Amino acid sequence: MTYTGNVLRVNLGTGKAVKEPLNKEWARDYLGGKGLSIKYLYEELKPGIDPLSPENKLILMTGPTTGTIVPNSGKLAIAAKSPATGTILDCSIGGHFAPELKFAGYDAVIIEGKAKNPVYLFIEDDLVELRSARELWGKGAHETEHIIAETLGDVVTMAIGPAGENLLPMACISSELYRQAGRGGIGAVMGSKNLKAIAVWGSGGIEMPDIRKFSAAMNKIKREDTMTDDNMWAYSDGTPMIVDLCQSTGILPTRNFQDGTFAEHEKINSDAVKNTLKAKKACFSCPLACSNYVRKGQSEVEGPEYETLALCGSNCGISDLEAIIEFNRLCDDFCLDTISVGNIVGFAMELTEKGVHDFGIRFGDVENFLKMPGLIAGRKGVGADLAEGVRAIAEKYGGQEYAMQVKGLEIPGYDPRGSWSMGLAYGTADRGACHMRAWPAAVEAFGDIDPFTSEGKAELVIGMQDDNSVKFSAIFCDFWALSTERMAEILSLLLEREIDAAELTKIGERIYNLARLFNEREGFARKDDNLPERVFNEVLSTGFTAGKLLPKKDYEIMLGEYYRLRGWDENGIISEQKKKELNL
Amino acid sequence: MKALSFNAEKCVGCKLCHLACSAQNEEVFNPRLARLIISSYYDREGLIVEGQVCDLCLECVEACPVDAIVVKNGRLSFLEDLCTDCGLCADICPNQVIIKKDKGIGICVQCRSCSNWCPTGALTFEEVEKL
Amino acid sequence: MEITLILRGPLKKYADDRSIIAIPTGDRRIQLSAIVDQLGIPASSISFIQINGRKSDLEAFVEGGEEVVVNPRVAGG
Repeated sequence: MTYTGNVLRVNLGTGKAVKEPLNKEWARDYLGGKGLSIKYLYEELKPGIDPLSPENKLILMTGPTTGTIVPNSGKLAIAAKSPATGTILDCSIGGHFAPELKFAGYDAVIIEGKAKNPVYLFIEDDLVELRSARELWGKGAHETEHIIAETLGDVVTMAIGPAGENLLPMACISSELYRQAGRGGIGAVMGSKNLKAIAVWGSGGIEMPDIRKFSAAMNKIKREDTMTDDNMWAYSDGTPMIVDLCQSTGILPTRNFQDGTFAEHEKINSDAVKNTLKAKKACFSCPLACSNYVRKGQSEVEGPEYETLALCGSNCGISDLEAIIEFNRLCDDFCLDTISVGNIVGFAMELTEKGVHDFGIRFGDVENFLKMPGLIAGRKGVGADLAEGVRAIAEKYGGQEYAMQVKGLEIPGYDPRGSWSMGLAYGTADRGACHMRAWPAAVEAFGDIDPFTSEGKAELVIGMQDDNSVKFSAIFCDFWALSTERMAEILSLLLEREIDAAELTKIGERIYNLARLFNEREGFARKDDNLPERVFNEVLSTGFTAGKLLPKKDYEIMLGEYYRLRGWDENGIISEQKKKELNL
Repeated sequence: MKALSFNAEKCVGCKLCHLACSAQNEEVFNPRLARLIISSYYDREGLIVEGQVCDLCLECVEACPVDAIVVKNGRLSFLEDLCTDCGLCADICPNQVIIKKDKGIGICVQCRSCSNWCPTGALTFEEVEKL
Repeated sequence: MEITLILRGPLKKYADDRSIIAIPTGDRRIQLSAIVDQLGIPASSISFIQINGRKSDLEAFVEGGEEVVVNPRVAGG
């Protein structure tokens, strides 16, 4: 079995670090990654705690694929209770941290309490140290990583910037400069613990029976199942490809979701990004190398990903790619979630233009656009208000109908009015508006399924949520579109027991329901599975979605069917029978 | 004789070569036991992509006092039973790709595991001039 | 008359690595499925077609002057 069997538990308050056995029963039912980190949090957190208090826990969780030659196994789950929403929050970060942690001998790290003074955690195999971060506090994540590399050498580091230190609900964690655990304020959890960074170095390895035969089998799978037409968009273009897909299907967020197409999309699409490309980059064990390392003028970044091009580009009326690259770099350094910040800036632009409140910025204003990450991360000037997120801004000044958020988390780059399944996906995602629990646009807006009907959408979204729950727990990266059967085949070899697709689907359902149970315990119900009024009331005006909206009654139909198929009651509460069936 | 050749421009830093090498030659997934060192990382100047591979310079063959490293059929071969753990080969290797183990050493034996795995063709085997 | 066919992402491999090609239509209307079949692109590798910047499908006809984009499948955003 490809677990190390060890969990590192670090209490920042006492400064004590203990190696404890991985809970094997839980690992069997939840696999690792998303599922297992949520299980630990569900069992160890009391309901009702303040996510920014020392009572919250930050869990870094690998999976059974981590550190092996299984393609696309390089990601790490990072979970906690969300400062942005109060729901359960699991993020996914790429790069090389996850395998290094496994090679150091740990399946997971659980971080508890709060340090008296800023510290960073250093893990070198069995050596675990808390080191003073007094000189690092206040610095951007990039400078922090460079200093730690100069101090400790060949380590892999994750760090927070001023956004996390200032406890912003959209603070993220950065690693290797340009990889993020992005959403829900995960970086603020670290900041609230006075934890500036985590650095890891591992000298160990992972053994398994018939490792040469396994490697040969994985190489064949890599060639025949990973590096195929279905997945090689990641290498050829990366996520910027999605700009054109959204433009042509009329779901590209434009000027705070006022429209679904952007006249200047060609300045921010994949072809535009390719003109700035210096190199492709991959996470550990990934043959698809989706990352684009770009440079334009004085700015460079690994990115911009689609979400950034959409929310910080078209959504802000910004078509200057160099400005978006620089904005992206600033957000990565300050550690700000670009999806949320793009929404916030777009919202601020609309509020200013409508005369609701003057934030001093209008759509397309590049000069003030570039000042936003610094102001927001530092809570300075207009940043003091903007740093709270669109829900809070709307509560203070107005514009609730077009504060584009669900449960307090800002909406990603797909307009639900042109992809009704995405509306349902946002409303029922465990951590607030998210496109990573289910991304049905792939087969609906971008496929054969009619985007403008409620029919069949519940089943579609549920299938993807459960499938992704397994995927992000075993740990396979989102961008390898592998079947459940393939996951089962690989996991059977890693776990040395026969697992089939049906068992995996059950595990996925269990994980998704556990996340829901966590939220239920925090008081979430149907009323929170809602979308902003703009989606229900305002039609889009250009392109493929001209004249389209998502009628509220159709949303309610989809939601009702979703609850029914999930075995939840009309209020979205999980039935006792379903809980028993899933062993919750 | 064909030796491993690294093209930094094609490298994406996935480390699959390290995993393939250690799996084939050490029967474990451990990048630090691979007989090549490929790094792709950011320093203050930007992206650095560097690769150190065995280029069949044969200095290890010459340095070994007991002829435990030989050339056989155009590839290096390590004769474990002869090795005295002196470590001279590892010290002398100009590419620093010989690993010292508790018992014996690990050398690149041109097995092609890394090049078979590399998804972008950054690792290939090229003819080298040898006397 | 001709149309401009753009093959996005990995699909350019079906046109000898050219991502933009001109397809003559002569004087006729041609169904997109015929064009795609002739290039040997499996339908399963295609997510959707765009004609002049708007989503369309393989059943559609073109007669010349259009810009047709063939999009690959994309797993995640």
